[in-house]
Amino acid sequence: MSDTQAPAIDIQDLHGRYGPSHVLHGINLRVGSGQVVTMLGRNGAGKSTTMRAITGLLASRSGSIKIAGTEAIGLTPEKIAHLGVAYCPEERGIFPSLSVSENLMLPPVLRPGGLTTQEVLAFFPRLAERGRSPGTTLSGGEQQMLAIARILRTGCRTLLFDEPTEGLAPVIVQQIGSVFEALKQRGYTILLVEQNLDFIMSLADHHYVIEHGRVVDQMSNDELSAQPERLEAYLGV
Amino acid sequence: MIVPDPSQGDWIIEARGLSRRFAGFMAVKEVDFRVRRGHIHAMIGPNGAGKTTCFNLLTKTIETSGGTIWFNGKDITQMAPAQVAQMGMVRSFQISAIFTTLTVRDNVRVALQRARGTSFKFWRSDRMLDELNERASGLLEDVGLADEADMVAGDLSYGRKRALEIATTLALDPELLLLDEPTSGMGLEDVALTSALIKRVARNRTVLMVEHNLGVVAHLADRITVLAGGTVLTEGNYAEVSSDARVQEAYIGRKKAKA
Repeated sequence: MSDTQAPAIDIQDLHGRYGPSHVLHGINLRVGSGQVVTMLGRNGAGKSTTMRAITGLLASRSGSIKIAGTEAIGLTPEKIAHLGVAYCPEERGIFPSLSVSENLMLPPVLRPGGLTTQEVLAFFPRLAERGRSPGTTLSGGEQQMLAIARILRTGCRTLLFDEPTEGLAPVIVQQIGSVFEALKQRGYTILLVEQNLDFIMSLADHHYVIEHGRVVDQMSNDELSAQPERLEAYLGV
Repeated sequence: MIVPDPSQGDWIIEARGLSRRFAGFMAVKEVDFRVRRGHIHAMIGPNGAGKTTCFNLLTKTIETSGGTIWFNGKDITQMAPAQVAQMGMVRSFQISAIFTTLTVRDNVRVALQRARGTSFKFWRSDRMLDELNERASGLLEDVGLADEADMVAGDLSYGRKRALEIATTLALDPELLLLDEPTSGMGLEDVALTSALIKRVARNRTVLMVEHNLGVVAHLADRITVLAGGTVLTEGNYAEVSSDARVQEAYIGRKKAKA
């Protein structure tokens, strides 16, 4: 990351609540422009909640979230999307009554520089085959592919993926790995929540470990590759 | 009429010519498939290969467009899902299905009451309810949820919810347990717990599972059927199917899976 360029995401002392329960307790996390960064940790640690805070979907949040230098803590989800942030949630959010291509074309192109529909379908040939099928008839894995594919067209340069490889066949996981690799080559910024360590270690620059709503450790990918056992204490492998 | 030949082995479930069409799209076509009693049998394949559709057909959740299904030698093709469940075939779902506002223990108790046909008999004696509590505690112990028994189920982490779901399916004491992606969305610690649990519950029943985690499949499955494009690509043990070039191309990909 160069000194002159603001980080794509810069989070300081982020607190978040669901109703009365306080789930994020002062998260500090930074994603440099063009980096691939992961959040690791057990289920329920606050990784998805952090993503929901970044996108503005978590109503009760305080602290600071800067997107490319712009303070976004008080912005609506639409305004945050216009800062160039796209989000692929774990629950996929496929519209069941729309066809595959309607789901794919639904998110608007917010800025130039996204992948073309042809490029997206070249990454996911299965979606081209199922183009006219309604969302309800897709398998779980096909829905996951569609949820990932859908945000690549928008031109957003900061992409948030919550467990993108969940439910996907190993061969598709590898394809997604090469999609992410290609996005990285083009200078996209990616923040990932992912359980598949093989997948992230071949891709990511930096890792944050989240526990009970706090960052409890962080390491570069080189450090993790040299000492994979450092994660065991947190993940209980 | 074709009937299964018992002399060939002890098959708990068998399907021949199994087919399902969705609005002009054949999700499953002419699948012949059977599971040996006592086995852990895994179904793997690329996304959209028809695995979940096969599950839905076997458990009668959706109707067949063609083919015949036998459970314990009995033709169940025309039966209703509840009938099949009562005969001893019970499934879990890819997306977890539990009552989030009930406690963990009550989720299991509801399933136990269902199994006994005592649902909604609120005037039953305390002794009867105590007996249910005892069995519920046993099942929660089995799936490693004894300490969480009094928590509201909605507050469990995702992996623990899946364990609870397995407990509720076990409450029906099925002869054949069908698990749809039991470790999907789990952290590593929960994957290890769940796979140990499946091994344990398979001791006195047959398990058929869809699973993408090849480590889990390699470790657990006695037999593996590989589906692709709605048909059976091949079948065998892990060493056989994982070394099959067609399986590598369609499913595993260039990197050999770790066992």
